[in-house]
Amino acid sequence: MDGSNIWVIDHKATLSEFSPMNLDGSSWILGVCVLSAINKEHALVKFNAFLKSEEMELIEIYGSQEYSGDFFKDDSRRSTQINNAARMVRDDGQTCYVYARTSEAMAEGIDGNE
Amino acid sequence: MSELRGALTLAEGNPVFRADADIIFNNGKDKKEFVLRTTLDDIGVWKAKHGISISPFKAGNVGAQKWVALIEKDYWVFGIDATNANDIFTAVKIGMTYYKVKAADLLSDIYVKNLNIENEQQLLRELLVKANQKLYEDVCKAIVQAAKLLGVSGILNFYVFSNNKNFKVPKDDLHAALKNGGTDSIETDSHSYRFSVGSNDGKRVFENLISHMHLAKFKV
Repeated sequence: MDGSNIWVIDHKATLSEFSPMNLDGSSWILGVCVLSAINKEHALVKFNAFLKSEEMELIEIYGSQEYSGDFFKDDSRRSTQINNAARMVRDDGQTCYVYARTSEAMAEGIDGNE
Repeated sequence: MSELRGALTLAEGNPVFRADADIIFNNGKDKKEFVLRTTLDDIGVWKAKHGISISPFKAGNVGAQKWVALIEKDYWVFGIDATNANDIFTAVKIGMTYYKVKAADLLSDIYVKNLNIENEQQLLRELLVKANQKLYEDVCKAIVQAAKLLGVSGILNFYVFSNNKNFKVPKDDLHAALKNGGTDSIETDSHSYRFSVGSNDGKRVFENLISHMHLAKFKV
């Protein structure tokens, strides 16, 4: 990449009814945005633009950190998804959104068929 | 229609999020002995999206060759457009060869999870539902046509997983599309299911989304 690094942003955001991220009629979502940026400030600007384009509004950022494989070595679903997203961002620079949990999915508890 | 319990899946993405072809209505289980999985992506695109190493090989007749791979215990066929009867025909032929089964063993139960059009962001909202309806309608026609080409007759069960409130194709619009596709009957399971879901481009992953199961039956 062009000197950019990869950033991982944990957050909560609203979802509009017709947000491309809204597959189940949810009103909010928890997720991890993985994107490339030259520094943290740029990462946050890019993250806000992403939210806007997806018809989402930020509620809270829980954490934003520069990606390093050292932090995601466990085999949890979250780490696996972040590592795969980082690989794709490194390949083509396009923002990824993983480990998304919608308000509808959370409302009935996270235990499911999987 | 058949002694052997198999199934065909359409429009698969990441194997982690593959369609559960064992589910039947009311949270029942009908364990399939073999499942033939198909994906629209060509093999190179698929590998780049999902970062999974596989040992693919080419199969099919001259002129209709497709890449195939054994992933866990299922054969996957790549580059299969679910709206194209000839593609489904080719995939089923490959499945018949490698599983050593009849066409009806694969086509009696067909599953698809969260089917929706590619590059949806380029579409206006009001066109999105219509485009997805057209997609479902075309898939219905293609599976019936493929069944005819393969000499299958009887009932085809087409199981569709899609949330009733999915704005891309809400329940009523989905049912209308399946009817336009020629189904003789359609019902929605009162039990809801949970799956993790990956987007078409693999760049978005949702955990434990609630999904509803719709069953359209086709008489061929």
